[in-house]
Amino acid sequence: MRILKICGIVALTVLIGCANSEAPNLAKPSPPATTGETAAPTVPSPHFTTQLETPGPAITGVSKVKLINDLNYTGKEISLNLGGRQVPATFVEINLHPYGFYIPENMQEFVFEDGSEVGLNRAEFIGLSEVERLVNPDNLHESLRFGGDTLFYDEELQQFEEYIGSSKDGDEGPRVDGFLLKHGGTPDMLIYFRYFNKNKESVLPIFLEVTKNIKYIEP
Amino acid sequence: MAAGHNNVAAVGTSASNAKYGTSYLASYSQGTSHAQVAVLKANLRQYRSITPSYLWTSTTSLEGNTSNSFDAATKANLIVFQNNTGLTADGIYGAGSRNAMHASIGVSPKGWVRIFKSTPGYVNYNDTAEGLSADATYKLDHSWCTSACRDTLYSLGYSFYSYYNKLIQVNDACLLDGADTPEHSTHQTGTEVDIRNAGLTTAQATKFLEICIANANVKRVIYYTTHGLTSNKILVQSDHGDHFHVDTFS
Repeated sequence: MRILKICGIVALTVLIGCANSEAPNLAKPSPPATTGETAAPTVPSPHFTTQLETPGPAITGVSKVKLINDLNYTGKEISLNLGGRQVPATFVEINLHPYGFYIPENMQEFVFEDGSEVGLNRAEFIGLSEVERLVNPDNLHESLRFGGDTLFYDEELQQFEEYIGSSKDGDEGPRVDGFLLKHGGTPDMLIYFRYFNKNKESVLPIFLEVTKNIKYIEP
Repeated sequence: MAAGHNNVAAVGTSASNAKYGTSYLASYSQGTSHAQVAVLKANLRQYRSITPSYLWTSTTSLEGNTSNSFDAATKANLIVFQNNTGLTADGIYGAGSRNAMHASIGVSPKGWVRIFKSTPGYVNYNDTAEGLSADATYKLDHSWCTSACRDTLYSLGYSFYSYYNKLIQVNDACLLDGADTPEHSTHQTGTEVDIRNAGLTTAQATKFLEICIANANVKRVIYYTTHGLTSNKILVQSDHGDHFHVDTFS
């Protein structure tokens, strides 16, 4: 019985390892339905369906935490905790979406005629998109390919309930991390981080802290 | 796939290189040595293989010529390509030639298509000298969309033309396969296209809105005014004063 238990643990460990690494089958998922060679667009591949319904942490048994806990915007001034230091933040409303972010001094708003982003620069920013407007609303991870062709899960981000996966273009190049924001009665939103993988250590903590404090603004 | 070029030789600027972590040049000409020149040679070989041989008589073949050096043979082949695609035949590969190369042999892994340079329903502003000049900051090709979206553009343009004998000017859609673009917050789904309103009278702009509303594949039009029309397809946004942003269902 004990041997069986140990075998079970070993097997589970192997599974965890696969779930957290850039497994080859994730790097080269089946082509999107628009090629006409796969299933209809509304039917995601079982591979991704499984991942979306039971993301990594659920498989490992590690409890997840919510990245975003309080969406209510009160208009209060807040400070952000960046690297253990409290820094002042400015509230920025996102164009076309009823959300806003508190951003530190080194971030700015980039306004387009079809929305806005907040970021450190044009290449490293946080964006928002309605899920129904994604290339593949039924397969959120697949929809992140605009960041790069390699789909993967970042172990560090799997602790968050909202995390849906990442994509990247090479180890040093651009990457995108996606988070699903559900807010009762409003359209589901994709929050995504776009930055260079080589800058992950410096950029990701800032973007996580900013996203943690995203607010919903009553239209 | 960086910057939405896929199989076609890429061009870039300091702004787009900063965005994508690339090192593309704004143009390539005789004497340039760059990895994208080898891609260009492969593109020219492919283009040559699918076009009539009489176009290429007396033009040195690029078979086996796979180096990164932009040599005289590359220039000669590029000039044939430029002549045949209606470009200024200067032997310099820049954004205009890149667009034409995309249109000729560009491959979208998602099966997207490039908006035509011109049709009886519209002209692609991105392929005009004015449009290329307007895109000088990043030199990206925003002319990719789904085939259904391109068909819809044609339908909208042709309907409009039948009223006014005037072609609509299609501006930005998406980068190839929806690569992230520094010029738009959206424009990543292959179903979003901007239509310029330059030169349109109020009556013409109103008619274009009516045509959009009546089209079954048009999901939404963002514009600065409804021009008195009532439709839940029109979303009024004050910053859309110089173009219609058209979203299609597919």
